[in-house]
Amino acid sequence: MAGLYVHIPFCSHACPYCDFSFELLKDGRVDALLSALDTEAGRRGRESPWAGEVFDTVFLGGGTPTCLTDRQLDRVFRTIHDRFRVSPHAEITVEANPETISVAKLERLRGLGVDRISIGVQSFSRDLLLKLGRRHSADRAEEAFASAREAGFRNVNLDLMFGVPGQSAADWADTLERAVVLDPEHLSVYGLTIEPGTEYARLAEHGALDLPDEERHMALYFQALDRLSGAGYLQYEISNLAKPGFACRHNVSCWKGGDYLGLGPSAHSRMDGRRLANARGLADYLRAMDERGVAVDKDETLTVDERIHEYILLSLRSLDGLDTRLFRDRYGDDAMDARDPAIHALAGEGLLAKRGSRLCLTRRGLALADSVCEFLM
Amino acid sequence: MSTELIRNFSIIAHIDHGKSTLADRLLEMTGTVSPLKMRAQMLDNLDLERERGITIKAHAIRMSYDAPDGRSFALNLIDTPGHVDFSYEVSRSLAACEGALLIVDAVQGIEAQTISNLYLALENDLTIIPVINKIDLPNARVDVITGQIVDLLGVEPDEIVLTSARDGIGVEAVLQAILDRIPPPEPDDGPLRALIFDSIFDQYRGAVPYVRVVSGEIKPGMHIRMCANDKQFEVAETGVLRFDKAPVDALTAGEVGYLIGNIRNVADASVGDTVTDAARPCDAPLPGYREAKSMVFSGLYPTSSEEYEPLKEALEKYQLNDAALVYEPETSVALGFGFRCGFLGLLHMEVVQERLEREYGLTILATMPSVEYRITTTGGEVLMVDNPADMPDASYIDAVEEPFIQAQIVVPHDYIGNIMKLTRDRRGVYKAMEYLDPTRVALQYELPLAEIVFDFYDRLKSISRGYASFDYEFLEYRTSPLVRLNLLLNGDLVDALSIIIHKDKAYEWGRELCQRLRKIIPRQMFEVAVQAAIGGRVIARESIRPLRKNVTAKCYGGDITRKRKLLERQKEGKRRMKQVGNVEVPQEAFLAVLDIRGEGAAVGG
Repeated sequence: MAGLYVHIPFCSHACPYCDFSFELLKDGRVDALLSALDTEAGRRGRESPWAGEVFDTVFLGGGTPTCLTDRQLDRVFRTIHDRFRVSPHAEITVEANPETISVAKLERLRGLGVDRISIGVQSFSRDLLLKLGRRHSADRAEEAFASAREAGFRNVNLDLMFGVPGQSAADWADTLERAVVLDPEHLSVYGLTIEPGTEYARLAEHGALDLPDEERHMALYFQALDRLSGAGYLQYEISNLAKPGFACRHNVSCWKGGDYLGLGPSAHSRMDGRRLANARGLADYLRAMDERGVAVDKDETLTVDERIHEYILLSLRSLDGLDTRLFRDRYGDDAMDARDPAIHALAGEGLLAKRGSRLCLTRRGLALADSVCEFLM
Repeated sequence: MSTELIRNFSIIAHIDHGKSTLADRLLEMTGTVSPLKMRAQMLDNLDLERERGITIKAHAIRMSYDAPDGRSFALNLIDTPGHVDFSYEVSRSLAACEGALLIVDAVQGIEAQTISNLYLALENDLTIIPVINKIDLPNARVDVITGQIVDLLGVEPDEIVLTSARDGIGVEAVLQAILDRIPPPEPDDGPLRALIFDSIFDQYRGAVPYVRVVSGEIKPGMHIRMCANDKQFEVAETGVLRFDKAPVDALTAGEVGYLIGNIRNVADASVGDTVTDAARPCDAPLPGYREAKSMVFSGLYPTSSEEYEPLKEALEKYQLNDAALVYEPETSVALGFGFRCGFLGLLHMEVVQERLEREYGLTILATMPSVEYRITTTGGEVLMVDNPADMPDASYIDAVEEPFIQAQIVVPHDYIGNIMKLTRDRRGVYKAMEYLDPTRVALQYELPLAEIVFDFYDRLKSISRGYASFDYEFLEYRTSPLVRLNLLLNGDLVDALSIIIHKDKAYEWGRELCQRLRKIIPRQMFEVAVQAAIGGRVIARESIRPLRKNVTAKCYGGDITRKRKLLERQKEGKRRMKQVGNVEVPQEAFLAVLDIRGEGAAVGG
């Protein structure tokens, strides 16, 4: 059982906050990418450990996969099904932007086996959408959701973003309300992060972004958790909530340490203790595929400490928490016992709670997940 | 050789007045070294000395000079360390001579060190040859400086030699004055007495004392005895000091040279000690021996625990060449395992730290310098405390005494007001003022040593635009109202930040320290209370707001590795921090304290 991730880096335009690997959409390059993906998939599908693997989750991320034409999307899925064995019960997710989907396109995706759609709504506030450089309106986002339902999607995620410049608690409450009314199965709520090298980073440096301070940012986060849990969503990860049974299986598996294969520029793969990363930019990726037939430019085998760190990082982000028994089995009693004082200190500060054999972040700890993880490293 | 043909002399001068340059010219002029081989300032052979333009260790060299009258002389130049910290070594070097060149800069004139070194030379009954150097400089003030020297020494103006060592002007006149005016050593064939004025360590041959033979002779095969500890050694080699060691059959009274005798421990060849013949010992050693006394103390800690062993080895090796450095293991709650080190003075401390870092590739965290306090407990016991962490609770203390120094400050009279203010802020007691010439004054103060161990010298320089010069010597212990000020983080004592301070200054210091730490210590996951306290009484408090949130961005695929690496890097950064209770304290916090006075904000300064 493993996950398959395919990165489609194209977007119709650049968002000023985004630092994901993306390319502006140009037809010739899409075809070049699709050929390279097919080559990469062909090779991986024949190699250990992926040969014979049954993939039970597939995730098409980006970029904006839905900015591809129907023909291009067909080709992506042909590659996936030709080169790999995908479980008949697989969760297959495609990321989408509201302005790039129609009922027809969504029905076509359904026809390709896609059963989960993740829509990058970000906000239902017109002003904030403009600030975020998004091309869709709030109404368009609602229409997109309705289209997904009409096309038969019973598992829909909406991405929402808080901590956006100029965002008030009222704006955020309105966005949350409109999301709740739509009643999607899954919601991801992300704090805006200013990533180096982005347009936002440049603006922030000049003081041109009205970013909420730490306290307001945190208040917005808890506002979302409170409102959404009140509406029947269960938080299962720091930024993710879902109706019971609708947690994203692909991401959960990734956070639980499951193996996954990533294809396309900037895609990462996990093979037990190994971490591979493809060349990040499209041009580099295409050149590598052309010259070497593979695009991996980082291949590292984690040391025991690094595995422990990764486990801490991933397990604590999940609301199930860190399983101390599993930890002891995998990494030994010494590694666990050495962390006792730190655990004790964090528990004493109300950041970490013991639940049976599990260690979980408290509500306050959720906001400080990185610091807590670092403290335990 | 006949003592008639020997001259033993030193050069004394304030820093930068041209001592080393003149020495270089003498070496050239006597053919001791060819100008081609000459590196500027031949005698200063430690990199650090060359960089700072100061001599840290004494050196000695023998020159052969064929005088115009046809006689061939042996001139032993015994160089002296150019800093007050090494005044004991200076005095021992001077004790090995009959005369001294007193160099005064033609622009700067007499400075504090000129005066203090001159006093040392006079105490040793040396013949002084005054030299005004740098007379070629366009702003040279030969007449004014001549007047200063005439007043200070009571000499006639024509006894002063005028030179420009850089251009070689007047160097022959200096040589002639050495022959004419400095008396040759007295012959004395009594039992062997040789003064150790310096000692180096050779890894193959052990400690190599440099000696001035005062009476008798010393030669290979004889057994010598060190008067300070009665240890005996067989002499393997004697020789004179050219650029390399040049063996000779014997060193006789009046001569200067080295001896080798398989002395493995550098402490057995202490500067100031007397070497005598084990078979026919002298009645009494030469006067004035004392052990090097540490005046300033500081804890040296490795920045990571893995560097503890390398630091220990570096200190062991370093001490072979510098017996004045004393150290012992020390443990700090905040800093872990390290060493309490005693230094002759501030410059010595800086030099040691810098050389340990430079020559042994270490990164060292030095705690605030302290002096040695004499504490009388209520039980009548007397404790010497050089680490504030060792100071007993106030309720057990009857009295605290601190070392006072006698300070010489020479400064243009325009700056007298500034100097008065600075010394008042530093609890100085004004003693005397004397005009050296119509524009320069020599001021005398008594000051607590603790008040100058931080940045007194830098402050002095800055308030006098660099014109003030300063020198000091230990005076005595005096009772002062001193308290121990503690720094607490979330209630846990940070022992390395405790200081002993005058009670009137404690409040400002505590407040400044708390404010500074609040800025330096990064926000943690919990609130951190920063408190300064005297005993149980908190006198200043700051609080570091807790960190409330990290980013809550996506964490998929590649983000996981990226985030893990980011956190690992941060964690690694924090590993170099010190843990006090549950508070992570960056190393800058321990260094920033040293700057408090530098800002001049807190404690008057």
